[in-house]
Amino acid sequence: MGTILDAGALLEVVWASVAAGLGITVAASVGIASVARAGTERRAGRTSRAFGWTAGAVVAAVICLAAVVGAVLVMTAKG
Amino acid sequence: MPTDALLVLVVATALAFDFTNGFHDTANVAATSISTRALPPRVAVGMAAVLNFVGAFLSLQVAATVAGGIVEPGVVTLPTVFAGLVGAIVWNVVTWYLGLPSSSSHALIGGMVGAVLVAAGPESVLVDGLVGKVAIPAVVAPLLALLVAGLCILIAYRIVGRQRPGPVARGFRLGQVFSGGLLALAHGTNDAQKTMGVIVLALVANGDLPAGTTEVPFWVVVSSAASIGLGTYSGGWRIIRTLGSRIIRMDPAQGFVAQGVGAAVILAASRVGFPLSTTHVITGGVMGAGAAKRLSAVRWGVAGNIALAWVLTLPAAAATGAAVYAFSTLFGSGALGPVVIAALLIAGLAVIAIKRVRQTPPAPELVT
Repeated sequence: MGTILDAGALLEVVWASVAAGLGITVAASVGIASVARAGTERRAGRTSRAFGWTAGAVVAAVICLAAVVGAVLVMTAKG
Repeated sequence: MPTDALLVLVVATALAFDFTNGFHDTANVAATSISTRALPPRVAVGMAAVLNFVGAFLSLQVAATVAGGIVEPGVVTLPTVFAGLVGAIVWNVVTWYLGLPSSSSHALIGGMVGAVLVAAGPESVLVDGLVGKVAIPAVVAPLLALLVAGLCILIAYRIVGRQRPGPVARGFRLGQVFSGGLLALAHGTNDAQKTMGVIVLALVANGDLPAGTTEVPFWVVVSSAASIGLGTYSGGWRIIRTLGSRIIRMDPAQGFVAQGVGAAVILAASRVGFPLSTTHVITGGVMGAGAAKRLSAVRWGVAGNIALAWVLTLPAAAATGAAVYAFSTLFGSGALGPVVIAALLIAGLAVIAIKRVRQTPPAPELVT
């Protein structure tokens, strides 16, 4: 079985998939929720809270963009 | 000279396979964006085509081993490569006609295995390679994507659950532009390389390139990239409908998660060289994003048909590859047999195209 299947590679695919999938989902969801919350706070006149949520959204967006760049680097590193 | 004619025919058939690969797999990268209205259909397909083209240039790690480790390398000849390609094209067209997403890589491997079986006997097929590179990944890919997508959609709903639905839907639709783009790039990188590998293999078999070369001629890269890009732009709307709206009715969060997890799994597999099919991954992701919300949200009958197509891909493509090889040998070992088969294939495709033109033009309304 060891020669048929590289168990180490399979394990790495599993954990990397879980980590990357969860990471991008959490970052994007937090960013989207932050944008929505910032809008709610702004409409309620709570500008400082709105600013805080906007800052959170910016951080989440930067993480998502970094993930995209990282993904392209993984593709180029193949060959 | 006859072998040069055969080489030209093999290269043309490889590019035709690449076209059907792009055409068949448009759904993998565009269906979810279209069904959630993240992008208009033509824009989604156009973006997928451009990024597939670009993706083909990102990495040139030649899949010279298309079927490497699966059949004995010494028995691969131009006629077997040609027969394998025809087997894969036929299966791609059949599954497209039925609107079923299936793996083009497995179809190609199946076609090659069938042709080699007839040409050199069963001892030329490496069963361990078939199990390790086809059977196990075919089980792992959809299951892994299904489980990760299921987990991710639950977390996503938990995070955005109390927010107003309008901004949330807009946010996930914007996210889909990026996740769909990444998928298209990853698809171009993975799948165009298969065709490059086949062409390099044919050039080596014909003595135009030294054995064991890692160099890919630039014209091979450009033509493979262009074929997969054009195929993608042509859009296999039947499969787009299946993946975009017949398995589950997708909301933007599910679309984003299916694409994001799909890209994550494909890239994780690429990084360690584990051969996963993009079709299996995306389909698993779509099912997982739907099933986690509500098990009954998934149309399991459609999912069952897709699974059946996956099981049949290898034997059906192998049977076609074997039949094509056996038929071509009736005309001797030269280029005549492949020429006759290519003419029959073109005639068959023309009949399908004419029937399609006479039917109602494809209306890509896939919105949920």
